[in-house]
Amino acid sequence: MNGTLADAAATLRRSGGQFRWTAGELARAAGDPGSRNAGQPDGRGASESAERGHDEPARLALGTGGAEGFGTGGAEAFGAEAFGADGPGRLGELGSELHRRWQDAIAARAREARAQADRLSEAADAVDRAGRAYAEIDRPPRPTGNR
Amino acid sequence: MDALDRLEPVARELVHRADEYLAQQGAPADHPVWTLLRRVGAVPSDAVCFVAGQRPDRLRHLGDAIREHTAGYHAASIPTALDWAGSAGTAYAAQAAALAAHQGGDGPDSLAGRLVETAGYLDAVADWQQGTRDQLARALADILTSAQAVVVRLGSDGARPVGPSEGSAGASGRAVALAAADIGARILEVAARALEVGADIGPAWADRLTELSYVEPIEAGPARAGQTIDVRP
Repeated sequence: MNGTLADAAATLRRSGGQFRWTAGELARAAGDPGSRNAGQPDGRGASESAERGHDEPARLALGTGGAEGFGTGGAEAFGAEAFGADGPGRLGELGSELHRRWQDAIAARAREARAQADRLSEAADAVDRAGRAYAEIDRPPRPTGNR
Repeated sequence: MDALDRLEPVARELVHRADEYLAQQGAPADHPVWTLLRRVGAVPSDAVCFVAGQRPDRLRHLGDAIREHTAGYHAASIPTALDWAGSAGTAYAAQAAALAAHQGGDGPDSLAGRLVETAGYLDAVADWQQGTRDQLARALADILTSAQAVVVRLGSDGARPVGPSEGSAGASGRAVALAAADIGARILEVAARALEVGADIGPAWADRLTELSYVEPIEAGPARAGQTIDVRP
């Protein structure tokens, strides 16, 4: 395969992986417990996400446990309380409203990141196909074997 | 620790006592505390307890964590200058440029920009919470040094003691009820103002938080099998 195109495809896949990982983090912050393994780039293992060196403080703040510890209720439970959704009367109603808007916003950020990851993967596939086509053209013709 | 953290424990008993007088002895029909109670939907002591429990720093911390993800968006590379000629290569170049602008462009209309705006929303809510805390701290400071506080603490205007369970008959009882209502109103004014200001936050940020759509470049579609590839010598 054309070396430059192969490198480009690999770069696009890495970038796609970055967005897929971020999408998982953001979805968790939105209170989606099912997103725990959603952020593994291009189907690779969860350990790889850890190996990619993303900073621990950010992950903790987004509710994956640890020192900040949003508790067993997860990010959603933390979020509602932090916005004042547990308040009395109209104060609580306003807190719920502010929390809902936050949840909608962060869920939108997660979808945006996931969609960008998909687009980058598609681009990588296209570049891969082009690289293979170039390689096919460059290959010397095979002897026919008829002497 | 802010001013409210210091003042709320000092004022707690007084505020509860004022609540008790208010519940059991009422207040003059034309006292503003009635309107404020209806508007806030909470008694003064609950409002104080709630605001005192708010921790704006938690939202700021979360906002910082969201903001940190923009570095990953800017760092995610999209190669644009490839040795790929022909219509498919041209389409890819346009697509790559559009994808790069979509993820890392300046302003709110990029994915990185939307993350910054989302963090900004958290900061706005945190600012509002802190503002409410500061105003409540000032209100409690006023209350703690007021004549009404003395009356409620004594349970009397000085002429005759009146306990919370007693009726409000008599001048002294009416004075205590009025003092308790004044204290409650001063607290609920802060809560009512917080509701007004807080209600504006969501609408003010709505447009900057909506989901951002990707706009395909005009002549670029995904490179498909069958598109021509020009081989360069």
